Amino acid sequence: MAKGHTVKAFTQELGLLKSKVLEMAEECERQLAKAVHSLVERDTKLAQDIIDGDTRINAIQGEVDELAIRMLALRQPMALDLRHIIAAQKMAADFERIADYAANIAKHAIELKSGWLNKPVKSIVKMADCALHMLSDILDAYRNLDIDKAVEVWHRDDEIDKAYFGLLTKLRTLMIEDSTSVTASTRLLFIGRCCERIGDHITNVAENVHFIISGEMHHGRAMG
Amino acid sequence: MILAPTPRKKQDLAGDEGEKDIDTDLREENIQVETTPHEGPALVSREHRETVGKATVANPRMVCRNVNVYYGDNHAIKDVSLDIGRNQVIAMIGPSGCGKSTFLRCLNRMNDTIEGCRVTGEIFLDDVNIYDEKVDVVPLRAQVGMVFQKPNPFPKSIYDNIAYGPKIHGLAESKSQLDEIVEISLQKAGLWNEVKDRLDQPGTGLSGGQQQRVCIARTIAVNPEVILMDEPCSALDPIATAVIEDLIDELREHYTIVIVTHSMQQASRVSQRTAYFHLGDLIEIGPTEVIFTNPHHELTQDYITGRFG
Repeated sequence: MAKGHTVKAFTQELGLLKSKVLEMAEECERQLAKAVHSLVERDTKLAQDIIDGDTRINAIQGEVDELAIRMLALRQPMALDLRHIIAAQKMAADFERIADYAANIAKHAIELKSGWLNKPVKSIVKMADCALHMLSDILDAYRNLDIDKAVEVWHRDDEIDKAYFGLLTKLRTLMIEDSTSVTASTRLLFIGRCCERIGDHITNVAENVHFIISGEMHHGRAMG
Repeated sequence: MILAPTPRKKQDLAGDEGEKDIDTDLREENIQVETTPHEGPALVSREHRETVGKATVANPRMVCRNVNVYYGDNHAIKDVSLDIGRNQVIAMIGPSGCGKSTFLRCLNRMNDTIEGCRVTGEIFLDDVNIYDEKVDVVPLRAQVGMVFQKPNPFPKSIYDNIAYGPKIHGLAESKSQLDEIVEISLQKAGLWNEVKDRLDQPGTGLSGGQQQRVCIARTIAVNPEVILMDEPCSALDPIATAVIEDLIDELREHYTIVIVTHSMQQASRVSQRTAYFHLGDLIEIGPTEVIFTNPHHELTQDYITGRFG
């Protein structure tokens, strides 16, 4: 097992960096769960909370960047430590984007005044649930440096993609059948697109967890 | 379907009988995949002392096989096999007493001068075993030159420092030829422009970095194939160090360079291959970028990430 650094402050800084990334990710999870809730329950106040809450996540990303750059400059990290720091910075960028998409979902939820489109909303909830499970699992994989779990989460993005195509079909049919649904349908299309992009960012996170553990980059190539 | 991560590169010592895929064996036997935070990937365990990584290269300049060095009862180098690649810089790193300098000194038989030192195994320089009885160490040490930690110019003029070697090896037939060797050597060492107007002044009057480049020029002057450098920058300031590092990179075009350094940053900056020694064992050898981003042995990782003792 890996020992602590002779310079103990370095070990502490690495721990702090990881806990900041995890804090950011957990905040993302909460934001996404609340965004879906605000959509289903038509809760505009909650939606506004989510939009306002995005600044918290941006602030933590700033802290991650600052700490990572400081460690690169002052500690000259190598090997595992270098991979931890590089990956933390990249993952923080992905979590920041995920949080933006959660805020976008909330924005569209507020605007979605008319038309209760039951069926497509169900598809969206399904996509968001899948993304939430992936998020929670990739956090476990990062926490415990579990490469098998990271690979497994990476492959699960296919489910979101399938659900997204299902949603597109449903919305197209709706718009053809009832032209008054076009405004609401396009909003739901945007929301679905947000969920689909969130899935892609989670696969990026999975690639970074894989990189920390194995030292090998994947960049969208099939993992396994 | 969940697949295992790509297996790490296996040990590859060409021609070594009974070659074992150490890495895979370890994975199957007793290496546990660590799953607690800040743990790394499954690495070859600290208890294992066989060399990890590819010790051979295509078209090597020097080939070392099963080299053992004993200082009396002390077994200082333990069965090390390693190729030194042509026109490459190979860095040897490891904690004090790991044997890296001892191994370096084997490469031009500098250990011969140490009382009670015994070397076994084979070291070939272009197909000649340098430990063969017939080999004369004087031309060998011209072919495999050495630059030391502390700049040690002779207490003579800059010119004589460079001219001394070519003279005793009979490399110059005339004064003008000797002048040419001195100029070319100083140019290759990146020192010519700084000293061309004061070649008659003592070498010891130069700055530390310049003195070290005089020593490099002195080594170059006798047409070496390999240059051994034992901590060549540890007595120099960062600017002189950068000049020497830049020079090492240029010298690589004509020479093979083996450098021992305590500075991992220096090893990572100047070398193409890095060898990590620990208590007389060659623990890991590989491309420098792999050693410093993704080492495969726990001992290597401990050392390069600053997890000592």
